[in-house]
Amino acid sequence: MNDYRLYTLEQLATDDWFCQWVTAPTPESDAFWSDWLRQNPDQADRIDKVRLLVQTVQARYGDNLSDDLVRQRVADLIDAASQSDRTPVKPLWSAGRTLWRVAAAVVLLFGAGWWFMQQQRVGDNGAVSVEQGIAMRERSNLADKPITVLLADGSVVRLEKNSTLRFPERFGAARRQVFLQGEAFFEVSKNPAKPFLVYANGTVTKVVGTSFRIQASEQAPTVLVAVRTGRVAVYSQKEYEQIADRPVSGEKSVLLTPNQQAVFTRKNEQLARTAIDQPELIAPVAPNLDWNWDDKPVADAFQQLKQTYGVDISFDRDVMKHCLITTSFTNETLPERLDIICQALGASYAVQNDKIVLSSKGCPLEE
Amino acid sequence: MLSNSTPTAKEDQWSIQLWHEFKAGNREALGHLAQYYYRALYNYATKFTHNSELIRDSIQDVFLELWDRREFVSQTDFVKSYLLKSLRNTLFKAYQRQQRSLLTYELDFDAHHEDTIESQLIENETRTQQIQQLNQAISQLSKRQQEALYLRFYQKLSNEEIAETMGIERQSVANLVHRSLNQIKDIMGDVGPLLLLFLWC
Repeated sequence: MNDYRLYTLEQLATDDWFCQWVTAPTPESDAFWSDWLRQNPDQADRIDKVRLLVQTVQARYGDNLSDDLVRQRVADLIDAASQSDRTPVKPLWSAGRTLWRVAAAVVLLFGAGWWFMQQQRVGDNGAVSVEQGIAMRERSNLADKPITVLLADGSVVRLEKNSTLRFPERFGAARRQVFLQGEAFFEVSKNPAKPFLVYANGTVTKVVGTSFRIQASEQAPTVLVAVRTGRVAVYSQKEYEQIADRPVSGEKSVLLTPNQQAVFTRKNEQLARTAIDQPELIAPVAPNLDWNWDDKPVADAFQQLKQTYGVDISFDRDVMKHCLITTSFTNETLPERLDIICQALGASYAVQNDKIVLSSKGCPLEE
Repeated sequence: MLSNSTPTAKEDQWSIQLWHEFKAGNREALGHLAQYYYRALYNYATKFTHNSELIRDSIQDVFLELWDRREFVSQTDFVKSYLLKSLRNTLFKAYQRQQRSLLTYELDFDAHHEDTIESQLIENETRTQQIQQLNQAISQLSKRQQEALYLRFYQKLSNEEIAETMGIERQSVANLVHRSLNQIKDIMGDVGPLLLLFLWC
């Protein structure tokens, strides 16, 4: 935990989490700092001084440049750059070139608030078609506790502190790509037609539908991928880019099964597989709830899911008031559980704006 | 004092990669760099001029020159300060051409600052007054002190990056910031122990 008590004035005044609270507080940051102040009442004065500094600096130097204007200017700038090109630029899409590195790098490089993303796809003849219009989102967890991020396909990511996940609002046609800095536990919904790829610090982890943890902190010399369920392929990013989508034998990757982990050394780009030495990496987080459901009312069932996964499930209580669920869960990921529940109830679900929305026609009363 | 000399911004992994890509001739990477740093550059430019065309053209010049010379530009971990420095130089040359600033042989930081407060989330009247007081105190500092303070607390650069941007020694930056905080500490109230804490650095 960042010990803010030890921070100097300068460190505090330039700390992102602190500044966000002063200039644009969110419920999370508000809760955190109110709590912190309650626990550290001797710091109140000091905090107030730094608040004053931050507020003054913002007021004095801030501008109100509009997003639109920035976009416009950047577009103009790039136009000018292409016109000024006297020397031919190396063709980006020639066959020998690492297409994936370019695509991945382009996709990789979004800060928060980017307005559109271009996805590059390789056609049969190696030519690239560019898909526009899918916005890229970013969730950063600056707080102390992990947060839950819901992806468009129903996959759930438990993002640990000091971590950032970049992901598209909607997934593309051929694959599901996300980018991780830091640590997270993934529960990926099954879709063999669309592999799920996590890019993290020089590695690419490819799965079809499974649950696993990735540790890829900025300062760490290694990246770790540990599997709870399913099968996971881990590549070095360089290798992966050379393979692109072509099916390949296992030599270039490390294939992991449950209870195995891969360690990637960033410096020499070596991948090694070992057994998991820290079982808590993949242990289920939930308190020991009962997953053997016998005629459980849906409201209770969803409440239990919320407790476990931190996801909000919205449904029509009236319509579903007679719905009961009887099933047993062991190791299933959240998306799998939702599928099973929906099958049992004749319902369906969709992910909308970080919430799960369940629709159902209701359940007939038992005679 | 910050315990590191590396950039504090966590985006830097991305921007270093972007830099690498643009150098390799990827024009989209240039676009993303521009998009990412535009606001910071714009804001810095406004501290030297209010001529919006000059600002627009100068920022454009920075990136066009970068693009033209991409094969000769070195790889760097300090993208932001590189760009800010580049902008500073561009503005300086523009002023030289216009034969302004003959009185001072350096750019005049925030010369036209008026001590008015833009509306923002300010709790109450007391706070507003405090901010005004602190503002006035900052205005009493030398131009170089003000610029160092701005780069430190608004642009969040490390001492090393500030030195790079302003074209001065790192120790000079440390002194500038230190003295500035010294001078304004009275306005900020009794920060005695606080001051001692960072005198160690």
